[in-house]
Amino acid sequence: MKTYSVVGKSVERTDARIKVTGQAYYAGDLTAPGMLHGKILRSPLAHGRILNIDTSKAKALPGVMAVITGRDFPGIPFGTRPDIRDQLPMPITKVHHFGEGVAAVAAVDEDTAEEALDLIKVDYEELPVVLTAEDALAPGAPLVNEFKNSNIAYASDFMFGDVEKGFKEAYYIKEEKFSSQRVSVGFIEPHACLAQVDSTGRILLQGSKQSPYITWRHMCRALDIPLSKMRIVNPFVGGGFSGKHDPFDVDFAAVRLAQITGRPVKIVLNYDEVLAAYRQRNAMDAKLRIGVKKNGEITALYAENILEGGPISGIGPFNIYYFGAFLNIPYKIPAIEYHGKLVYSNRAPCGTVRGQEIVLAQFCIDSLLHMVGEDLGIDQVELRAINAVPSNWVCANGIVVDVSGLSECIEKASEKIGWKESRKEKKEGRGIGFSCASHPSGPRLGGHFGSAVMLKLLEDGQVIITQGATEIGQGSNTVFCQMAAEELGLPFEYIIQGVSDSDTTIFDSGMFGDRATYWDGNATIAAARDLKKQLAEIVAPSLNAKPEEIEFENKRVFVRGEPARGMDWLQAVRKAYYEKGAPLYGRGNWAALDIDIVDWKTGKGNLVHGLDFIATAIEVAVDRETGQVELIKAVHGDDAGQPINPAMLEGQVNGGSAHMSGHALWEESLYDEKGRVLNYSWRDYKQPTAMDAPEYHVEHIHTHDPYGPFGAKGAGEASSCSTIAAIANGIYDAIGVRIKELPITPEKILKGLKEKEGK
Amino acid sequence: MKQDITLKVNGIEYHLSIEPQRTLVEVLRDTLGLTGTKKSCNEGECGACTVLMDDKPVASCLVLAVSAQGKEITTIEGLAKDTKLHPVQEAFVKKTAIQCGFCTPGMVMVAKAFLAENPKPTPAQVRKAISGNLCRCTGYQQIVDAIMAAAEANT
Repeated sequence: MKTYSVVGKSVERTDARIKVTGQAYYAGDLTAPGMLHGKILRSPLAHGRILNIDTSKAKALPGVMAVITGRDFPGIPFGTRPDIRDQLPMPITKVHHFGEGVAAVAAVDEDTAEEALDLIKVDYEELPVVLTAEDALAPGAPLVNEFKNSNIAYASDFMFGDVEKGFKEAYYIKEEKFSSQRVSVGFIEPHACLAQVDSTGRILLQGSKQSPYITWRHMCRALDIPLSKMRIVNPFVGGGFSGKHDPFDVDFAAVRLAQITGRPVKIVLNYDEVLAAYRQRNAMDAKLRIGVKKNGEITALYAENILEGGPISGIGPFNIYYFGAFLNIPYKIPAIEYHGKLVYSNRAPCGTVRGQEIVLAQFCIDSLLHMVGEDLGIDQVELRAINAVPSNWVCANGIVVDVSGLSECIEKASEKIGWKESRKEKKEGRGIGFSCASHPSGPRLGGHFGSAVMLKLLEDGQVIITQGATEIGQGSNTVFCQMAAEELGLPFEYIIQGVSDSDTTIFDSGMFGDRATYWDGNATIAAARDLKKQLAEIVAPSLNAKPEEIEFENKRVFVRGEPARGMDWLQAVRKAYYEKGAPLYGRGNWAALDIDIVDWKTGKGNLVHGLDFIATAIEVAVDRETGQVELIKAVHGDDAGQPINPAMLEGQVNGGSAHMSGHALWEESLYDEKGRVLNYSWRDYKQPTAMDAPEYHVEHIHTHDPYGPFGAKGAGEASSCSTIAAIANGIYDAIGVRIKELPITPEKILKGLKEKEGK
Repeated sequence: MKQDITLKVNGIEYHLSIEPQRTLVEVLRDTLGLTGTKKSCNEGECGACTVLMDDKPVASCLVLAVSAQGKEITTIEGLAKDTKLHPVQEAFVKKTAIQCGFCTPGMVMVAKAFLAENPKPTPAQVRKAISGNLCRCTGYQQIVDAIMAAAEANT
């Protein structure tokens, strides 16, 4: 295998020094001359008809410059796909969830804007609420979304392989139900943006956006303006986790208020608004039936799943497909039948959260697998090793696995957690749980799906890189700089990260699904090769060589095999600039054209390359008196292909795991019977702290993906998918209580213990 | 009614005229432009707005600016000397303890104050010390590692 000089090294993040000194400017830190402050009035009802909004008193308050409602927008719905355009910038006829923005104010300062909100009078007619999947599907249920005549937002049904035969061949069949709660996304930076409109009507939006070009496209559609009329620039973004893809009322209101007033408008939410009214993860009700041979080999799987997803579809249709699709992997399942529904409700809107709905699917299947192992007396590690997908595997639904390091991941995780030793001498109240998972390196979606990178060569020899992918904390900028340096044969410090700006950056489909390293990484290599080709053509004649013989390494440009026959990189760059008058730039784009556009309804197709794998082992301690769970230690055997930056990769793996430990144990967005959120502050909504998170260890399992840049796979989200079942299984291992309804609270554990002891 | 106050921030005295209900985080960010101190929950739960007041960490969203008079206030902008980072900052960089960076200033301030009083901590003590600062990105492991490394570098 080739040795790399920059790739594979834990180089310092490009933004580390900026962030650690407080010089990173996030959307809420921005100001502009003449800037106004915006505030949003929120619905006290989860479902109600808007009869009238009287803004006259608010408009009359000195210092108030404009007040808007949903009627100030063109009324054009937008959505992820053409068949699910079911949301408006702000509501016009009715409110759909507690805290939905119904009006917005721009004023000279925040206090005046707040005061103006109190002067807006909204008359509502309260409507019955739809809170659960059961409510949504009940005959005669009130309709939630005014653009749809059903509460079923989307459905995904598929059957692959011979399911009937698979269950017939099974030695043992087990069926269980699982459920999960509403959780918030939980980034620390609240939604914020600064909107400006120039005298030609062109908009500049600087927001806390994870996928600025998704926001941009949706906004231009809903505002009924061409794409060229809006420029979107990303400042630093304080975490995304899939909660900042779409435009929100924050963005729409700031833009509309700026259009009306002709002045810059900034809106920064307080975190209670985020917890009450913005993106959460769907609640799940699932049923799984699994058939296995005597040795534990899976023969068939049947699954049903309903996701309760709030009043708009968002990315939900993809979620409902993903849940079923990723039941096909990481275990070998020859036959699978799946029925999934996404339903509307009057709870907060959902997008998805870190790991997407693979998180929920994996909680179900790995919990069920553990139960099968217990019933049949099969060792949990062996059970997973028997079923682990190998390299060159084709899943029942057509997903192709080129390279799998899953067996090694399982082996490493079990070794490092001390599984075998723990079986010899079991400690009271202590247990170890396992779960595996696979996460793809960015799916191919409909519409624009490619990635592009541009490398601008400066006359001092340094190179500015810009790419459609956006840095939201995950470290993608650093990774692209490493890849560009490696391919150009330059030191890491020679590559300078440019800003994400729709006027200058080439567009990307979005920052989701572990796609950046893989897709934009390949585009980075292509751009570097393009730049090298141009430079080679310029220097080759003076070296009496052909351009294709020119190589780039160690800041040198030389004839292949003869390092002395060449010149310094800087000399070559100056040749381009000063002899040829050619300020060069390299461009590259990449898209996985050989994979399928998956039909979300039928589940057919191979939607991805670069499946990464993980095996997670978590040691837990359960207090039988209080029902409290303590996470002691977590080990992740992680196959992300060639790690580009191992330390950053570890941070991603640990972070996803800690995030989902909150989902497993502590976090739940609670609603009352009228659909009002009860715990919309961090006092009452408990995200894991440093004292809740265990000690983490990551074991890198190096593989080489044939399509990935330098053999890398997408990375980071797999640990989100494997953590919840590992905790649930660890709790069972510790005290023999199986909890199938998330979150696993002390109350549920104590109840389980009581029932167990009563037997 | 505005009130005249004097605030000493990062060694510099500022004479300001502010409304008495203004919190320290508001004055630092909006009046002095020191936006390195972050604001998120505004109720002392997330720790993003942590600054030092006479070397003690406080949630600056819970402190009225008027009550910060006569104290030495240190923000993230006051730690590095020219381009030389404070050892805690250096450790955060070296140990890859930073991802999105939004919690970073608050974490660094808490860590600095904690290490001043506990120069040889255990990882468990470090975890307790930063338990008032939420981070969603990292899982905390590399932050704990960074603070332990800063402690070791000091001994």
